[in-house]
Amino acid sequence: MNNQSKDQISIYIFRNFLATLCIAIVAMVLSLMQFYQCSLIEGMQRLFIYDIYTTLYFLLLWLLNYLIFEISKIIYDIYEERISYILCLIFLVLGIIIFLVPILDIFQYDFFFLCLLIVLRMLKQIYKKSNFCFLNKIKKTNNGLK
Amino acid sequence: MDKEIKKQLTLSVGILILVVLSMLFWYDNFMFHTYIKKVDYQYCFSGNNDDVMIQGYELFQNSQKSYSGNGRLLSTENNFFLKGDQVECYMTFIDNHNQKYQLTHQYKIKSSNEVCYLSQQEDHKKDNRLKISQAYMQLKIKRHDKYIYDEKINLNSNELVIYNGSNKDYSIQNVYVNDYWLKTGYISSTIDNLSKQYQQCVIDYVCLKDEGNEEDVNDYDRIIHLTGETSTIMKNEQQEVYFHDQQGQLLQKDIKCVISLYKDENDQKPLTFVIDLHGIMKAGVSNE
Repeated sequence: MNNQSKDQISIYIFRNFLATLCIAIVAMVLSLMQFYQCSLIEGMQRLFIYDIYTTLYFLLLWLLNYLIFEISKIIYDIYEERISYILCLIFLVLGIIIFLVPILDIFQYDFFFLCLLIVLRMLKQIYKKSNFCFLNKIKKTNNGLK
Repeated sequence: MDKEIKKQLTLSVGILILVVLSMLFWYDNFMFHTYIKKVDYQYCFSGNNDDVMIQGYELFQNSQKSYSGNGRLLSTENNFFLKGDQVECYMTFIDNHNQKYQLTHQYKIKSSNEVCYLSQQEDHKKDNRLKISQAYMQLKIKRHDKYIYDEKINLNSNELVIYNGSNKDYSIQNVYVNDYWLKTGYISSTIDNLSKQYQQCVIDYVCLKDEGNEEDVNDYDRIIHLTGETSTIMKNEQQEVYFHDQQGQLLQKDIKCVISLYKDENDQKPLTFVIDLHGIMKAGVSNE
């Protein structure tokens, strides 16, 4: 594995860490702001400073997000050929249905945004694949003309 | 499926199961520490003129009821309050929608130069986002059926710091503190049948003396002592107030809660532990 691909992998891992971190923060802060009817700053204080047990659980939630996202990536890579827009739609609907499930609102927000992230990645991969096929077609056509 | 991919998938699923189990195991503890009993608002007012000073007058509301009162009135002049005087305080609070709230307190002086402690009154529930823009008190003193004093004193809302502290199973929340005043908070526990295991409970709020050693028990002043049946204390129906008249500001001091749980009245070896209190969030709005 050359240095360039190693750097790329590091960037991807960092990007995924950041995305899943943001999802966990947004989900928890939204929940706290709703419960305490407080401002964003107070919500952030209650998440990070108020109690160590809250912060530790937030870290577990972040780890959960990251693992689910990584597993979705691995499954996508295995069944790449069968992924289509319909699956993206299914995930979106799942993300909306989660609000009907009687669980804590943190998990509802969290899974909704996680579904969105997974759908975004799938769309990006589909777009990349269709671009790649299109470019290949043009190359073949050009070679044919030559 | 590629061997490498299979390995990654197995490892990720394994760690995921561990994380999910941890989250399930810690869920109750998380709920206990994160979602605590709410106080809609808590104000502490003070004011003074050349003759008298009022401190610690409260307006507060939790999710069930709204209260006012609890302040103390003291004179800076000697023989200002004489035995038999009837003190009348007419409080007026104006919110940022120009709605007025008027409250009355009466106090009979039992001995000259006494410090008057105003009673706590329940009043009608207000908007839980109440913001007071203006506050004043009309102080009247009646002596021998004649008003000898009638002055208006402007009140200022003191900024409060909300202290809290917890360990794994016990939590003290919503302790309001400013430089001269402390109001006890709510205690809660994850243990369901605590009052059956420990019938009596003693909670001491202590603060470290100036230049005292944190490790030395004797370097702490006890500022509030609460004692009673565990079931009563855990209901958190009544809070106590402390006025700091010594040197130094209360906010600069290290404050802790020492909790002792007794199985019965004759228990010689109670379960005792300390919860450190610390505060970051603010409450009480300064008058606009």
